[in-house]
Amino acid sequence: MKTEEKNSIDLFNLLYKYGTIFVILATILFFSIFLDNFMKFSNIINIFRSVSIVGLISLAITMSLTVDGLDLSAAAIAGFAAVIAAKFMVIWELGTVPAIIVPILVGVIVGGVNAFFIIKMNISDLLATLSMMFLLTGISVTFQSGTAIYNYMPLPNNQGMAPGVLTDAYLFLGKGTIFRIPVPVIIMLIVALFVFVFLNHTKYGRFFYMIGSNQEAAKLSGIPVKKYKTIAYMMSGFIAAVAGLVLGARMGSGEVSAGDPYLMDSVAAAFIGFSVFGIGRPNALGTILGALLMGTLLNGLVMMNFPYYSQDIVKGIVLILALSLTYYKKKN
Amino acid sequence: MKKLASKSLVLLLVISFLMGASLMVMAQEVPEAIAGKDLKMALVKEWGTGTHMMMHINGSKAEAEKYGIDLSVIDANNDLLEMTNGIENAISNEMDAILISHGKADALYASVEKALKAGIPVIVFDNDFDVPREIHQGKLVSIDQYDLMMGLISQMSLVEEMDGEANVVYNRVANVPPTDKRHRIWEGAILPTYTGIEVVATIDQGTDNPMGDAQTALETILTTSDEGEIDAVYAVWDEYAKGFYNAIVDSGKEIPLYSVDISNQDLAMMQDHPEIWRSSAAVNPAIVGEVQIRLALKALAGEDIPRYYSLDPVLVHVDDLPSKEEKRVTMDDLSDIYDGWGSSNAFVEDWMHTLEESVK
Repeated sequence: MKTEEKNSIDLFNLLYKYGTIFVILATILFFSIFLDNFMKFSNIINIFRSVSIVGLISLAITMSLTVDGLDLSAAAIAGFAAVIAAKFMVIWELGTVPAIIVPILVGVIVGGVNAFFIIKMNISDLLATLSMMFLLTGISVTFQSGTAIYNYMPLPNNQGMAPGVLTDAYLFLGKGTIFRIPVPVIIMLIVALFVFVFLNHTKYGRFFYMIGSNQEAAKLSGIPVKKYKTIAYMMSGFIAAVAGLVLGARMGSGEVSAGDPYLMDSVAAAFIGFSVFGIGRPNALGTILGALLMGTLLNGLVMMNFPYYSQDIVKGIVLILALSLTYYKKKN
Repeated sequence: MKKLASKSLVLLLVISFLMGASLMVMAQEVPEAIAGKDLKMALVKEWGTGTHMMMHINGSKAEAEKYGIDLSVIDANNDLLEMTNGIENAISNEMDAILISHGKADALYASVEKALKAGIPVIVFDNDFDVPREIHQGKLVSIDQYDLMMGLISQMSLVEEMDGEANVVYNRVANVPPTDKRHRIWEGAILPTYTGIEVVATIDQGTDNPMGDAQTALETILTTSDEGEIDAVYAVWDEYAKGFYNAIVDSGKEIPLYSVDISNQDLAMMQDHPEIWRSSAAVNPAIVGEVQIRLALKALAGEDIPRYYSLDPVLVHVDDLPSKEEKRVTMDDLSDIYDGWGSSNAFVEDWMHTLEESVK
């Protein structure tokens, strides 16, 4: 009787810790049996590339999650950054460097504004960043009166052709490769490594997690909660803007509200990340694995000619499974 | 006798002249029902972003302005509930006519029926409502860009350039009326007729993020297919075509792409890689807006309007365009290349010119 109970707990713990990994491996195994070219090196690279945008935005969201927040504006910041970059190069001909620096600065500032409304105005994280999401999406539509910004576009009121182009250096961020590895993948991995080291191996990371698990306790132990929350949102804005630059370079244009569709997948990836290795809290490695799980599913299902709605069904089931693992454990 | 004959002839001439003149005057006069009225119309759109939809909005606005109509544009931002709100508001604000673009028939049916019951003409673009004639009283029009024809000429462009033999990556967007129509031609006409055309993969990623998802999906298929396995790519919608184009260009392969719909952005891409994006069947979306306004005017004037109307599409082929070094082409330039692109005389009435003059 006793041993049996112990065994079942062990099995549960095992499932809890490695359940998500198990799901990922099972997915890979399934596809590699049924699809000839699934395990080709080029396809593995392709999966990484396909999740680079979701990966980066979910890392941005992860930063906000560590301080018990939730940055819903991250995807909109990404879309906004892509439009600003395109406007700088195509319409204003200001060159690559400002087209990269300014969107990133804007991302950081937007993060700061988010934090201001959350901390000073006492609006909940969800609502403050939701409002910011609408605001940014709206502004990015008005930016070029509803149309995308792209090379050789005609200007309104018969003012001829747009003078500038998206520079090769900028496009390299989305289309380039280094030793056969696509640049978006490299950027995602660098940012992931940075977030990982920051959260797990610096005292700031520890403070972030302390704020996230118990804000009152953190405050009582002398951690400047407001300051670190602000920093967390600014970092979220920073990473989201980087995601936007990669997105714009990959598409080769500044598309209107291009970031928005990545929001839900990114939130899902960040939450799947909780369950990886049974960590039970936001973390960089889990987030990237969460993004990769969804990218792998999409990749295989596309190869199998599944239409999008069936992909969504599978995605939903996987998310429910991963979240059940996390929250069932927490409850007990 | 001769005198009488000549007299009667003169009389006949005079009468016919008078009749003719009065007919001309009658034709030019603005119909009583709308003469001197301040007309208000609402254009309710499922989404209003992207070049295509911007051109549709601008076309409707310009035509409305011509006739002094106050047109308010409601962009529902892909929210069907917002669309129903837009229609309901138009009814309660006593708008004279409601123009709709896209949307889902089931979600909007009740509101559209309500508008028609209130006697408000409803001119729909790319959607259809199965309202019985007793209710709509001939005041409901469903306009499309002749999607069946666009499907046919774009798909035939692929068949012709491939000599009827090709492995094709096909794209469909299910449950959207215009793309469904284009797909019916492919499934029912092209594939059974040209048996050398084989579909190696079908991409359907819905309408949320067409360009980004299309790019990712085709990248997957291009990476995992064997060298030379894919001969052509077909996009049922140009938002997909843009993503496919990016995927093909980035892969370094030279696979021809055929599609439906066109925008300035599409034209820039076509000119950049004429060997890839070969052709696209399209209707000038500005004309759709213009025709919607004119049909609404005719309905308000009490004239007969058709229940269905399809505009004439054009196959924009990259071989017809100048090279990019010569000239960067925009949608406006297409009227110099293709007859019937720039304007349509459909449903233009003489009295509309009078109305136009009177509001100047």
